[in-house]
Amino acid sequence: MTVQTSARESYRPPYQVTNSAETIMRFPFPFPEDIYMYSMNVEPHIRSGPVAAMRNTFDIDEHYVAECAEKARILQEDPKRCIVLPHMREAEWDFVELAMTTLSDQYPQHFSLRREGLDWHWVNRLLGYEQSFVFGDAGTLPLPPFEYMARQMQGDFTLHDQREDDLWMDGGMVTAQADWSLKFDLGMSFRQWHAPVPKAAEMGVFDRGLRFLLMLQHEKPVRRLNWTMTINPRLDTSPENFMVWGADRASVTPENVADKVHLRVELQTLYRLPRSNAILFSIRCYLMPVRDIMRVGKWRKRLHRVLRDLDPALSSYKGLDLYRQTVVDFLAPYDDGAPLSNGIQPDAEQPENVLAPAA
Amino acid sequence: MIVSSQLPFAPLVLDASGVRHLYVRDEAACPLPEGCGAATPEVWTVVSDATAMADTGEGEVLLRSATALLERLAGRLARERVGLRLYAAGGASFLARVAIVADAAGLGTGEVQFAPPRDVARRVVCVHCDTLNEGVAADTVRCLGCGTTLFVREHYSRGLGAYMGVGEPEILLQAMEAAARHG
Repeated sequence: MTVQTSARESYRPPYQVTNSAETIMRFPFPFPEDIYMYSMNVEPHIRSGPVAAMRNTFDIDEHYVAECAEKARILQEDPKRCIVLPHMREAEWDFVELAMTTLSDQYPQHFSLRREGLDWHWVNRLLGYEQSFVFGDAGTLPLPPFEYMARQMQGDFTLHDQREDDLWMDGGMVTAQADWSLKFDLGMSFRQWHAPVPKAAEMGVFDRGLRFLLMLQHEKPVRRLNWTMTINPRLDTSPENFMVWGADRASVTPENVADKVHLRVELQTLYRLPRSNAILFSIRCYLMPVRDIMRVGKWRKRLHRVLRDLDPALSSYKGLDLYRQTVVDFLAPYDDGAPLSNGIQPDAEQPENVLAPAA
Repeated sequence: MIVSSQLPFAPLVLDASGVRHLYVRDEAACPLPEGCGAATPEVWTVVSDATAMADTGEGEVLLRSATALLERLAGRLARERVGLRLYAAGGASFLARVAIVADAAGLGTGEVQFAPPRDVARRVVCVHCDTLNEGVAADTVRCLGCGTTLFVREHYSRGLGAYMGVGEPEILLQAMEAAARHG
């Protein structure tokens, strides 16, 4: 993946985010079938998958520098987006180790790590950081260990302590979230933080999910895709700033729908951490406008069918009610009703040009 | 199945597995836990009276305010050993504050009981400005901190002891009303 080394993009007004053909083709489109309902849909997070975004432990793409800059800006505005409870110190170092070893191994052109016992030397060429430190000694890093490393990665991260046969949200850095709040959910159990989600509890999804995660093993991470929709390429769709971005949901028209409406996909990966026995939850967010999804035949047809037939309770919970029909009406002429292959992989090697480019 | 992040409210029943029992309530009208007699709990009661003296000599301890009781409770729990069972009864706000004190002291889920609250006045924290709005009986409240009209979400944070309050931009409210009118 080619990474831009400067942040030309903007994830707030005036918005300026563009996706290369490569980024479109590696997008983790979230619908393997024409109809969507909650499911566990958990699979091993191995280094292969139907699209390139799923083939690395932590995915780095062309938006890396811009997303890290946006994250830093949000943390500057609202320091409560990063909170770690004191008993999670060991988990912080587990996270540093997992992130630095996998990034330097899988992206040696961008990151390197030299280890001599506990003396570590980290280089991040994309952000221009170089740091010698003693592993396990927080005083040798310029920031607390979890914060230091999470700032150098795309996406959100939460740390979960395991006790009383439950998982507790006892830390995290959350700046690109789909309408949930870390400062509010901090300290909650698995079922407590999922309480606002409709239908899933009665379907038993959370009970099965929790049982599964309590057994998660070290070096056997798992993944799933989750999705919603976002107006404008805005990473920070937090409840904290809902008064700032919420009105965007009323701004969609048949004229601007292709550029305004984005499919927001979370590649969620979960890792057992070896020293702390905590679980790391990584939520890697991808924003793709309808205009770019249109460029893959299978995806534009399937998106049309999923949105058209979506359960009203899910539509409401995901905040789609004000513009879902506008998207469906826009996509309908491009769906011939032909059967589509199962799975999320695209049906072409390169994106096609269906719409005229944005003005 | 728990489908709410609310405190686990249930009628109070004395837990025979406990060695010591402490019952805290924000008014004397709250009944004792069921099963008192086999063991007798210590009882702390808020009387809202500045002349009350917290005499521990005999039976019930009377406290001048909920705040006074909670401060005393924090001190007590810091010195407690395994075997204490804590029971709490009163208004929703009082119970929320007891849970915070109990959690801070490290009491486990089996060591604390909360009676169903005797009122519906909830604490609502503004997610936009962090102001805690007390005694909210309606589904909306104007935030004391930033003036936003907050809609109370059915999502409770035990750590904050409050429900989440989130504003709705005016344009969004109008658009949703219009959409509802046009079916």
